[in-house]
Amino acid sequence: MIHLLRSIYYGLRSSFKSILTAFLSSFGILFIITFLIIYLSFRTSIRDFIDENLLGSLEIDEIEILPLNEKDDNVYAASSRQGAKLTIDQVKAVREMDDFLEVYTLIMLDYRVRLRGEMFGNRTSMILPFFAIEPEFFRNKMPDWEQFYYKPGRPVKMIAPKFTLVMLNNYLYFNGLPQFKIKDLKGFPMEIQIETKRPPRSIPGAEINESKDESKTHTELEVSMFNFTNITERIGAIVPMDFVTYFAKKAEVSSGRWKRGYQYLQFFARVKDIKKLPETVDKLEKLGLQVKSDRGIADKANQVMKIIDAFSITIIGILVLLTIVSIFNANLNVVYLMSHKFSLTRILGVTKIRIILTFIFEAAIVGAIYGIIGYYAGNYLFSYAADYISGFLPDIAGVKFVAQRNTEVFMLSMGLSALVSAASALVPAIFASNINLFKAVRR
Amino acid sequence: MKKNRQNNPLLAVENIHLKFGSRTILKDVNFTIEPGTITVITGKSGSGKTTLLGIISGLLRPNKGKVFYKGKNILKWGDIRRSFYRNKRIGFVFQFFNLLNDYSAFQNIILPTMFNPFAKNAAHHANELIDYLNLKNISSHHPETLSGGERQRIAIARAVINNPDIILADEPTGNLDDESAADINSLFIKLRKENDKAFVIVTHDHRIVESADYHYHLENTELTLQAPAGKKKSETKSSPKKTTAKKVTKKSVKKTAKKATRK
Ligand SMILES: Nc1ncnc2c1ncn2[C@@H]1O[C@H](COP(=O)(O)OP(=O)(O)O)[C@@H](O)[C@H]1O
Ligand SMILES: [Mg+2]
Repeated sequence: MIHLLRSIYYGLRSSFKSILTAFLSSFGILFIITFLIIYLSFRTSIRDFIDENLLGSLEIDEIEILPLNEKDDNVYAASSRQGAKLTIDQVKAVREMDDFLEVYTLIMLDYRVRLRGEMFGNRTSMILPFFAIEPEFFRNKMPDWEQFYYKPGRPVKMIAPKFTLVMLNNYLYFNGLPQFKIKDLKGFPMEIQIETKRPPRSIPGAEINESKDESKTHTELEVSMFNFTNITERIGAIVPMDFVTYFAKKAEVSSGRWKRGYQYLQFFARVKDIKKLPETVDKLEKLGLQVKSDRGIADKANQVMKIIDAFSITIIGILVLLTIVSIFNANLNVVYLMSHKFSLTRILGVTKIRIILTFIFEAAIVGAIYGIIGYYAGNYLFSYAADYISGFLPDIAGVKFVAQRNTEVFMLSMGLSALVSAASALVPAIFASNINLFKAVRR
Repeated sequence: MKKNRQNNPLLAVENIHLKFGSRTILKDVNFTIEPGTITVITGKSGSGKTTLLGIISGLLRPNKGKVFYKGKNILKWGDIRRSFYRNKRIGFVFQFFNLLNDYSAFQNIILPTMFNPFAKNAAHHANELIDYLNLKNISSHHPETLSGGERQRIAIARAVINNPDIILADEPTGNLDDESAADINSLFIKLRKENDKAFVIVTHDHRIVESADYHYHLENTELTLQAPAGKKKSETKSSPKKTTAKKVTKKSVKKTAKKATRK
């Protein structure tokens, strides 16, 4: 035991001088790791930015299925009664396709709906398109999606486009009022007034007012704000599908003539196999439909990321090479300077493999130490650069620069630099172990 | 030598040939080493004496021939086994001491035990050795601060710390004044007598030659025994070898001979 400790002590002592030399020569590792940390941090920040802001909220295997004549840029038409609709045949055909794991339908109420609300003492009211979709659609998008179902007698849950929140906050900001977050507005009460030709059958919690000329009936219902979404760019509010079918039934059965009460606008579907997407698109186009997916954007974003990656990895590669060459050189120098000692220890019975392992072990330790220093240096430089850049270029102020401070990256820096250092020591170590054994004797 | 056929000699060198490039250094070299003997090798500078020690210790590979340690050909061993052989069975003493200046005398002595995975009680053993070789007062010093004679005694202690069978010394007194040289010589004799070690000493020092049991001379690639071998054998451990030694070294300087035999 004491013998072992003593061995270790002597081993460390004898390594100390060479470690100092190695330290100076391994300085390049610091650059590698620093650069790596900065690169990883920027990469993550940009990736997050792309995911959040460019890719919308569609998953990679989610597609939108729209009528062919739907104009991308005509937001008003898309949300209005004049916009393109899906035909019943198209709806049936899509629902029968077995390419999808899930299909959700976005519909639009065929009634005029007025939304009324009061905030800070101001009452506002506006006529707004009302859409509906199956609550299950939000399964992976909102944690409390199950609350979205309609319960007769309770306020109707409503999801608004995200941009309305932005507009509201802008308005509040310019009027010196506090701004809202999504959670502040959850449950915010409002009212809707649905206009039908005939009064619908009784609906719990609803107030039904027939107008004097009897050509119009207004049904007043409480709604409550459920969430915000940017799943569609359409201007309008989204209510649960089950509410719309419920209401339409009440309204149309009373009219004595069956009418759906809503129009089909589009589908959101999740494909079974993303690789078969082109075939699915073919089928849909034959039905007179068009497909939108984030895949294209995702692919482009991935391409951009790939270019950034390739560029950074090339730089890291060059740094690694330069460092290996310089450490290699320094190590050869160490071998040369210490050749007499190596030779002597070989004569005294040190094995080749022990010399190689000692050499590499020392190099790995030096490398690991540099890895740790590089990790902190990289983080520091990154936060410095991030502040500087975001102050400089307001356009990318939306990118949240977050330094990569976590165990994985820490281990990666340490491991990589230990590896680089050890790798650069390998050949000199072999040289050292094969040194002319007789050097010491001959002197 | 023939008597010893069945129990292998401690070390046997057979039919060694060695060339450096086109130059032949050793040709058909044969000899054996027995425990408790001092074998001296003389020869002109550059004749190949050091090379021969290198072959014995497995540091150099001859072009032809065999080196048997207790009947086993060390040239067939791999690096690990040969390293162990050097560490455990062989002790080295050099002309220029080859001590490590980063370490104290004590640490230098103990160094070979660091490479010996089976070494036990190394420090205890080293302290015993230090007492035995009278090194107590210098054991904490660093080699640079010591005289040549003291350094060589440290080196000898390092050579024997792992209790080897064979000690190879390459001109051990070549860099010492007369008095230190005599001192080192007597140390060899003491170790040989009391510990039954075999010494192979390359030297020009006639006093060492005189105290040797065997004297070989290396000249023109050939190693020749300088005294009748049969007679030596029986006298190995007794004193009257002085006479033979004198015969052997008629060329050597006689003036200083008394010094060497004093102790
Ligand atoms: N590695 C080597 N390559 C070529 N020649 C060598 C090598 N080592 C030693 N020699 C030569 O071999 C001869 C014998 O060397 P050496 O054994 O050191 O002689 P000695 O110890 O008897 O003075 C010398 O001429 C020396 O120059
Ligand atoms: Mg020599």
